[in-house]
Amino acid sequence: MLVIGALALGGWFTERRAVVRARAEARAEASHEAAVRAADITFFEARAARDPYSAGDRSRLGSLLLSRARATGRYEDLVAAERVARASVALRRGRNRGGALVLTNALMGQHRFREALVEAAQLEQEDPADLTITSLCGEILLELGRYEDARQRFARIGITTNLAAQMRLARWREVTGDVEGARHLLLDARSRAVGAFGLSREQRAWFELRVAEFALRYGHPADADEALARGFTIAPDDYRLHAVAAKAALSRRQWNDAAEHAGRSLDAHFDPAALALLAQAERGRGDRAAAREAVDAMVSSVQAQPGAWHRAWSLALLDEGRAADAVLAQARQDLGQRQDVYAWDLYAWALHRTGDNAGAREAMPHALATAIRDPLLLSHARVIQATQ
Amino acid sequence: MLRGLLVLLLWRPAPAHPLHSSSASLTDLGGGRVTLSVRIFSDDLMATAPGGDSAIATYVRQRVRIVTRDGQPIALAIVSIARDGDLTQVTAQGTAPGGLSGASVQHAVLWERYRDQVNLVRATRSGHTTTLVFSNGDPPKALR
Repeated sequence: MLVIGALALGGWFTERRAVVRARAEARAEASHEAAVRAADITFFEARAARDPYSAGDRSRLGSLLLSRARATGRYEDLVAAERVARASVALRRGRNRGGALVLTNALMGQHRFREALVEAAQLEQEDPADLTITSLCGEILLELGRYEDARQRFARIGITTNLAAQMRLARWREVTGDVEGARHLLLDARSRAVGAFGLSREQRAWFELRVAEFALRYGHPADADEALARGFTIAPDDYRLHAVAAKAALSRRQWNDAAEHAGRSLDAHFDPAALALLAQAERGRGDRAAAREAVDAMVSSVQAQPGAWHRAWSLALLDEGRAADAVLAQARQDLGQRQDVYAWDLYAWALHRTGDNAGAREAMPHALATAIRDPLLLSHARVIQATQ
Repeated sequence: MLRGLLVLLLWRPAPAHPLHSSSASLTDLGGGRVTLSVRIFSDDLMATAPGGDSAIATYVRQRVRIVTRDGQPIALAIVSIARDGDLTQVTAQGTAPGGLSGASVQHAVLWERYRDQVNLVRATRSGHTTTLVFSNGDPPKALR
């Protein structure tokens, strides 16, 4: 028995050492990638400054800024990417697919979907057979709640090896209630991303993130844990992975783990939604003062935002019982811009939380109109239905 | 170039907003030694503490304060000021005979610049890390 125990312990230590080594290597490589990207940005900034007529240099610079915005969540990079992409497209609209794509993505990152659709539609017109563009249009239409138009785009995507198209198709299937189909596509894309040439660590980790989020959402925590472990091996400090890991820990009531992951996520990139996770963890382990401080900070930070609030923030505010009237006003405004199922869900939930359950009952069927089976939406619908 | 194209073709960034925050790591190294590392966006720091490294060092010492259990401020010696992309990382060391046990901390950088500035301190003692959150105007907080 002792021998078996010693062997098991030895195996655990060996495995643990391998994980620690892999993560140290990943950190070094991620740091190197970030340094190369920063040098590339400096290089292309200088080139663009020297040549006021180079659409290509501006397109490339926009792509790099977009990449950094994705890795760090830095707003200023997103705005800068839009600015240089606009300059690139203004210099040369024809044969400048790269510039137009950067511009579209930068607009989507700022939730300016209508403007993004104008750019994407023009690209689609130029090359209707390009699945990347077709799926991009589909994704924007999905965000705008124009489901019939989105369906036409996604119907054109059959079996594909195009990773971007496949991930967007997965999202379409999920929103339209085909959870198993979406899962299959996500797992397939994830496995192909492992060997895909030219993907950065942040990008490979993103596939694991999507699988983990999906698994957690649909009640498969073991699959989520597995994807998170794989993700952390690729990108140990990825703030999005830590946020999902915090959610996973909260679902298991592992408060210390949840607080640790939420803290690490916040340390890498400040997001009010992660403050909500930290607050839940602190409350779970009995520190009500710390939980209140985190919620107060979330409220202060969200309320200072000049534009539309992120829906995750609005839901967190509602669940914390804070700023419900302001969230309702935001939700109403959001619905004026786009009528997707999540906009309806937020609106219905805000009505419910502000005491207008009759209004919530009218709104909630719109949130379920695509046959979506997202457990969060279904739980909101149940509560609204059960409330007199 | 191929990598750049793949970046373009795959996906958009997560929604981003102009948020104001600074993060700090505070570590009890044992033996009464304490190290502090504060990260601040460089453009904000330059606007708030113009005048080069000495101005930055003075500013950080004024704005990030650690007080021992006995109420004695821990004197921080700035060991490095490094630029990392658009961030400036200021590292300092101090001595506290009793370590960080029972100490309190306040992280107040850029509060005068942004009303919604939220600062974080990740404090590590004996391998255990906690996250303290400071909204604008919050008093010093005891390390948990």
